[in-house]
Amino acid sequence: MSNIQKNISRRSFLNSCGKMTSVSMLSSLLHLKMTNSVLAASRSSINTGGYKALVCIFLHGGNDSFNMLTPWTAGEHSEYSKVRGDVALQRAVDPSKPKSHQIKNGKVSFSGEVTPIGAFKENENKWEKPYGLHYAMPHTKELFHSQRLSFIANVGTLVKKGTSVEDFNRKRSLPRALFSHKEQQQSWQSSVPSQLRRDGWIGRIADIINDKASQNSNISMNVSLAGANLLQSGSRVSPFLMGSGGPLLPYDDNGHKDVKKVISQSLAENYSNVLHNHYNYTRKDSVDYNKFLSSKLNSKKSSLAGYFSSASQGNSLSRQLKQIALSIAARRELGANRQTFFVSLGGFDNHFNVIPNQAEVLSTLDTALFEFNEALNSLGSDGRNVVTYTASDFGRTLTPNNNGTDHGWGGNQIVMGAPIKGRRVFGKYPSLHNNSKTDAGRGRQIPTTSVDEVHASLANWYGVPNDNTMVQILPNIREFWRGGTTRNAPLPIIR
Amino acid sequence: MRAEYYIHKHSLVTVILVLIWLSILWPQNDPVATVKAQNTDVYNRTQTHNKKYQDTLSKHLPKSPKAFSSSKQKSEKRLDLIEVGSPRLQPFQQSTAFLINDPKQLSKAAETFKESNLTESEYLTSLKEILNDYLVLAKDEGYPTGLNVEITNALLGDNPHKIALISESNPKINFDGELVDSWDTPYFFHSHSLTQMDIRSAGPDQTMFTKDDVVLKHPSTEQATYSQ
Repeated sequence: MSNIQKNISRRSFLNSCGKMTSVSMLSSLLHLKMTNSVLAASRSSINTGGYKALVCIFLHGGNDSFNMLTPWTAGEHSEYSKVRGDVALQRAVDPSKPKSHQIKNGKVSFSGEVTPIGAFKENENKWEKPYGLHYAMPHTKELFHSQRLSFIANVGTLVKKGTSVEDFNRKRSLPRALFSHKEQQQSWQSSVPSQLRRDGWIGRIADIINDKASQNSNISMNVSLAGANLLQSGSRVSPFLMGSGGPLLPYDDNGHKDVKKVISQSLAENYSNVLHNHYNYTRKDSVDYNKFLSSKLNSKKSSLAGYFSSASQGNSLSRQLKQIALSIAARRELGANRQTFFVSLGGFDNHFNVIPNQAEVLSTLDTALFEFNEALNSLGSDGRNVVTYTASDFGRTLTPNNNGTDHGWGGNQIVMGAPIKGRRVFGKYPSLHNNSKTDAGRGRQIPTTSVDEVHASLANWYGVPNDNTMVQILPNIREFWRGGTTRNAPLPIIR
Repeated sequence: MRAEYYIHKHSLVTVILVLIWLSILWPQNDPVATVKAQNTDVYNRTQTHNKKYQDTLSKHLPKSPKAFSSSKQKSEKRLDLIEVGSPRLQPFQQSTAFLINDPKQLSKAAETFKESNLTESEYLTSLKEILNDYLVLAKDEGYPTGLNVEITNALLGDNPHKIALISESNPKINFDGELVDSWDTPYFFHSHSLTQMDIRSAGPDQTMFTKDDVVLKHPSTEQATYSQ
């Protein structure tokens, strides 16, 4: 009682009332938001039974993927070589030991070789035809032949199915800002090619199911190892950000004691300003959540020790995938039965020196995929319910510009995991000759498969039915996939 | 009593009839005159604008009677020419298109860009100014994207607004319809985003990505930077 200020002025009384009102309003709004998301989750027809995780590896810069996966048969490879000129890869003389590029006097004297990989038909385990795989991807070859990995040919942003060269010349029904890094990344991640969106297709899924899919509401079902991104951002859900070294903590428990003391004091502070105080609570919560996550992941480190040996040798992708493997291993403790992860690998925008530069990043990707797959194999049933796929800004021009390649459109992507039909090249691999039906000039390939078709196939496996919910998540999907056909996804990626 | 009522009733009917007659025969206001009277200034400005617009159009219509027909149908067909177009990588034929603006009037940078005694950095600055003019006109669409010839075509008028920012007779455009640097090498345009674009000249050695390249990078800061 003694602490109560008796001679309170009218001004300070009103001031206090204002603060109290704003706190209660803020609290009401937050509760309303939570109620909305719970309602959305309960009403949704998205199946969240069992455990499933989706991993997106974004290859920043635009992968020259027609050198990652090339034609192999003599006629097709000849056409490919003619178009690609100096950046064409040769067919391996000894398929078991494809030669890598050679540099003499600072210039590429030999581009390297591709090794044959035998693909099955999309829907049956029968021989289709061989393709060439980049020499820097020996592990990928192994994963492909063991039916753990497949490719999706010539994928890109499309507004309508069957976009033609004439449509391109007439600038008719084309995605927004083709050939521009940022906008094409946005189109891939939002899956809305004709307009700028503030949310991504995975973010829209999370908006509906986050509360149902993650029992620990403090840690989002969407986890990003590569910073804030559009893909996992919804109108209600934001990705939980982690560093490639693990959860982001302001101090290391084993580090300098004074740092910890100063930060802890700052977090324990009470501020007279309501917003300042709220901000401090948020910071404190964030530290607590990260500490909680960190403890859960640390408990799994021993079980995954040794799987990510390249992570300690500077493989940035391997470092990120290691954290994902730990998160999947700890998913029961985290109360998650649906998770998505976003990681990225840069270094694909090679307008210059594409041969050695691409070999380096593809090698990084190859090793990281192999290690991740091995780690998932050790995680039992949870590891068998993970699908990993690559995405990239765009493909590149087939014709080189000196020794580099420029911004293109469609490109080839990788999909990996136990749930997928492995050893396939899904979609239609285009004819790589000048003035083909898919050539938008300088070998920029008009996509034959849209990003929507890929995303719908993955979303369908993830539990999204092909009804209005699918349209809510992929607004442009009806251009490519009719409603109601629940059995056949646009691409038969899943077993 | 009856007579009074009779007179009163008839006078009322007469008044109503007179009012109806007046409302029919009253002179109607001329809507144009009303607009003029109410807002003469707006009216005059609209007229001036329309005249200017017609003058600009007439300047850009083909002068040859064979090439241009005054019939509405053919005129509309000409408007479609720009959309039908030739393959995007073909140089854009400005003379066959129906464009709105006179590039000379539109951009001082376009005039500067034609001069022969500029340094490469000055050329790049002028080119960037022209592209910035495009950005202002195109608004949300941002800078044109794609290969050199596509960006050049967009500046020549192959754009949704049918606006030309440079003339096809500009000596900086080569036979393939590409904008070239001081050493006749096509510029390299790098689209980071719709509002961020780098322009690279290969420099005297005419090879891209070597030490003598002249690059106008779109900076995160306002100040443009050159590297040489």
